[in-house]
Amino acid sequence: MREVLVRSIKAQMKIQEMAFMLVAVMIFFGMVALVYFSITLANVRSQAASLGDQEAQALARQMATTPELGLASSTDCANCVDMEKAFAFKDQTDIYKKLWNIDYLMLERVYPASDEKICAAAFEYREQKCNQLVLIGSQPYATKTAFVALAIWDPSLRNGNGGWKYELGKVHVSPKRI
Amino acid sequence: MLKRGDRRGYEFSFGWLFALFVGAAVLALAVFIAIQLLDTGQYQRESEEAKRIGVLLTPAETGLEEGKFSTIYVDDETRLMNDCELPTTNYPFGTQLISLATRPSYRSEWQEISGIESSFHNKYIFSTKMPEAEGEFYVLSKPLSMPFRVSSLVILWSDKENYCLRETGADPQILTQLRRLNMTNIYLKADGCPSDSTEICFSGGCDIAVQFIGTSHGVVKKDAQQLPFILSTDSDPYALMYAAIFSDPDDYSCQFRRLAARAEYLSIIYSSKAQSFSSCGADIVPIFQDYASFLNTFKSGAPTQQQMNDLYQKMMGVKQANDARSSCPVY
Repeated sequence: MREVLVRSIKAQMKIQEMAFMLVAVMIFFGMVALVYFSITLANVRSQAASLGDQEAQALARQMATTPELGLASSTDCANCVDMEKAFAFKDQTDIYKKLWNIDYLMLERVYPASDEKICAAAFEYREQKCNQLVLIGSQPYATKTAFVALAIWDPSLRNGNGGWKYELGKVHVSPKRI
Repeated sequence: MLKRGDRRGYEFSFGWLFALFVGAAVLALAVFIAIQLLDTGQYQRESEEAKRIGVLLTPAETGLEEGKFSTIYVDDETRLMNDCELPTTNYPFGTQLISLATRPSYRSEWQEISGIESSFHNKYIFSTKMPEAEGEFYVLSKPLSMPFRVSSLVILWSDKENYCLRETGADPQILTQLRRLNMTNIYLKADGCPSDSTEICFSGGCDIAVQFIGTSHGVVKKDAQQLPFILSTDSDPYALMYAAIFSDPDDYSCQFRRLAARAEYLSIIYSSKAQSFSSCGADIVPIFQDYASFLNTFKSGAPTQQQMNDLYQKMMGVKQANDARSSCPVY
C-alpha cells in the first residue's frame, strides 16, 4: 500500500513536471514569435516609408512636366514650372491634395535671390518680396527636392507686350506620412 | 509468487504516451505556423511589388516625348489586377487601383487572395482586366492633349499577349509611329497574323475593329461593345484609340471619365490664369469656363459617340481661341 502511494506521488510529480515544461516551452515560443513579428513589422514600416520616398522623389523630378504646373504656353522652355498656373492652382489646393500621394508641395525661387518668405499673392512674388510658394500642406517632412526652372509672366518685357521671365528654383515634395 | 516487473515486456507508460502526443501536436503547430508565415511573406511581397510598379510607372510616363515604350521585368509569374474607380466627392480625380498576385516556382497553383491594392489618383492604366506575365510587362506611354495637356496614358500588356495589326486600311501615320516604337509582341502584317494573336483591323472584321468617323473621332469595336474615342491635338492624335484597343471596355469608360474630370479642373486653372492675362488678347475666360462645364457632363455616364463629337468641337474651339492669342497664349 505504501509502495503504491509512493509510486502514485512520483507519477503525479512527473505529470506536473511535464506540464510546467510545456508551459515554459510555450512561453519561450511566444517570446520568439513576439520578437519575430516586431522585427517584421518594423521592416514593413521601413519598406512602406522607402516606397513613399521613391514616389515623392519621382514626383519631384517630374513636377515641371505635370499638366497642372508645367509651362505649356511657351516653346522656350517646355520643362519649366508655370508660376501663373501655380498661383491659380493655389486656390484649388483642397482638390489637388488628393491627386498626388503627398503631404507637402512647395516651390522655392533660388535665383535671383529675394526675401526668404512664403508668398501670399502673385504680386509679392513678382516684386521679389517672397520666394516660397506653398501649394499643399504646411509642414515639410522627409522632403525630396529637385531643381527646376520657374517661369513668371512679366508684362513689362518686349516693349510692354509682355513675356516670360525665367528663374532658377526648387521643388520640395514630402511623401504621405505613415 | 510473481513480482511486478518480472514479466518480460515493454512498459509503455502514460508519461511516454503523453510526451508523444504533445510532441506531435507541437510539431503540427510549428508546420502550420511556418506555412502561414510563408503566405504572409508572399502577401507582403505582392503588396510591395504593386506599389513599386506604380512608382516605376511615373518615369515611364511621357514628358516631352510623343510616345515611350518600356519593359517591366518581374521575377515570378505575375498577375496584375487593374481596377478603376470613378471620381467621387472625396476623390474628384477617381482612383487607379493596382494589385499583384504572384506564383513562385515552388507553388503549382495561384493564391486566391492577391496583395493589398495600391491606389493612385494621377495614373491612367489601360489594359485587360488581369494581364498575366511570365517575366515581362510592356508599357506604352502616350500623351493626351484635349487641347491642353491632360495626362499621359499608360497602355500595358504582358509577354503572354500578342497583338497583330493588319496594315490594310490603316493610316500611314499610325504604321510609322508603331514601327518607330518597335514594341514587343505587337506585329504589323499586311495579312496572315499569327494564330495566337489578337487581330486589330481598320477595315473588315476581326477581333478588334477600328472605325474612324470623319477626322474628329472614331469607335473601337471589341467584345460586342463599342468604345468611342476622339483624336487629340497631339502630333500623334491616336492615344485614346490605342487605349481603347488594349483596354478592358469597362475600364476604358471609367478611365476616360477620370480623364474628363482632370481636364475639367485643368480648364478651371486655365480660366484663372487667363484672368491674369486679361490685358493681353481677347477674353478667353468664358471659353474655358464653358469647356469645364461641358466636361462635367461626362460624370453622368459612359461616353457616347455624340458626346465625343461634341467634345471634339468644344476642344477645337478652345484651341482656336488660344491660338488666336499668338503673343500670350494661355497654354
